[in-house]
Amino acid sequence: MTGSGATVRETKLTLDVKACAECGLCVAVCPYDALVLRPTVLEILHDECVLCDVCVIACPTSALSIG
Amino acid sequence: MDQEFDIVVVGAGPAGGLAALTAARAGCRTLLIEKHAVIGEPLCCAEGISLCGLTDNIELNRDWVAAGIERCYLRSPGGMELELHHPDAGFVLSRRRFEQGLADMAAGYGAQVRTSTEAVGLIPNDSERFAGIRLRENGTTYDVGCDIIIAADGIESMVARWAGLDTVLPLNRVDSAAQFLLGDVPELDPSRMEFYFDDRFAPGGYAWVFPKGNGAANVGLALAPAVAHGRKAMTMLGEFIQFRFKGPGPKPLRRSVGGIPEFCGRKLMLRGNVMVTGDAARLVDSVTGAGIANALWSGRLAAEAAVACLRDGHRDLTILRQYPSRWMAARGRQMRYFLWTRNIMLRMSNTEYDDVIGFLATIYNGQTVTAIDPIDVIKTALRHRPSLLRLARHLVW
Repeated sequence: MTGSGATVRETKLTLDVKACAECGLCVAVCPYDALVLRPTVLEILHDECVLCDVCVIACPTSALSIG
Repeated sequence: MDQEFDIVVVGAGPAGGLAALTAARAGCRTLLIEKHAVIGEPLCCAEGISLCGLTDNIELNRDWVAAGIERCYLRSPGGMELELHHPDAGFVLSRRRFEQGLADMAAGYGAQVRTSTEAVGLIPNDSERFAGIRLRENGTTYDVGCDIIIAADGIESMVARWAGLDTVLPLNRVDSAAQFLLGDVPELDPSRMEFYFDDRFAPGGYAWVFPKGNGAANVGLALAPAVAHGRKAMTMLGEFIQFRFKGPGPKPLRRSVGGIPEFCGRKLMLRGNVMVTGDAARLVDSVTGAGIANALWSGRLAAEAAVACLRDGHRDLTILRQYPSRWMAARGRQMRYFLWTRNIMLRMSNTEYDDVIGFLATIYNGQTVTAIDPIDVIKTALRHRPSLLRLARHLVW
């Protein structure tokens, strides 16, 4: 893969900060301890996340997505 | 280690506030920490509580009450209506005023209250007990030594997780909820709670309108993500508002969202010298999703057991087992019954909701009741309408 100019886009869990209400539901359902709710921001530990989709399904506001 | 306390309480919600108040009033050196800057914010709650749920645990202060509830209205998907007149049924609280009141009272009895202070880990000692807790305040991390830790950190339940308890909520054991605070709500009865069952907008749950005084109301819904087929609570709330107000409804003054955990028995309530209360221990009424009263009961009973343990010369940790035992003796039967009922409700069709609410209306409509035992209601429904027993087939899976 040289000289093509193509970049490989990594699939990962992303957070829409504006939609997140910091309710902690995603933290409660995550089986991998990949989410931590700091006082005013949700932190995603990408090394722990296995993209299992559970938090995406549980989130009441569509703040989490995989892409 | 920087400072020594008898008891550190993590989280200044109803469970943590009452635990800290109970411990401090008994003379224990108590620290109450809250990670947010303001106690009572952000709100993740519909704020309803029964009269006894509050007054069994603490003397009522009218400042905490946003509205007194005297009537309950239930509506089935097909339009069957049940209206129950129940004087002194309960209240819709101002959670912010309530929680700040509890923290102020705890401080009045000598508890230290620290806001903007986050728990980041437990400090191991021997296999059975933790030596203290690691806190972070304004970017500075420090350790605090203590004998007992009371975890009241809500649905995230990080403290219990650090203590080695498996707090992960499976998707079929949780509800996802969204709520707007609306002002100038049309056709609002200021002392009536409204409940709407309909799987078009609240699959596996229900939608509500709870009056908050001065024409305002908490309007929200909870759904079970496991049966919602990707539909989101916040999106469905828009549809419910369209249905309830036959239009877009008043402009929201505040939006809140949150999760409602399902009761899982006593298994998350105690580990060594870590006592877990309220939503963190999944102590939530499975039919209504109500958590404030259970949080108060658990915070008070946990603190009472902690005080008994600290007064014992040997600080024998087995004394802490009084907490889950007393809680289960007081609440266990009803909580298990509600869980059983929820498992039926999760599988009920819209037609079955019409049938149940229609039948209950023939008994209760226009009646004034002074107390409702939900277990009796369920039994009455089954006895008088044996066709409802076919719902029991839902329990076979």
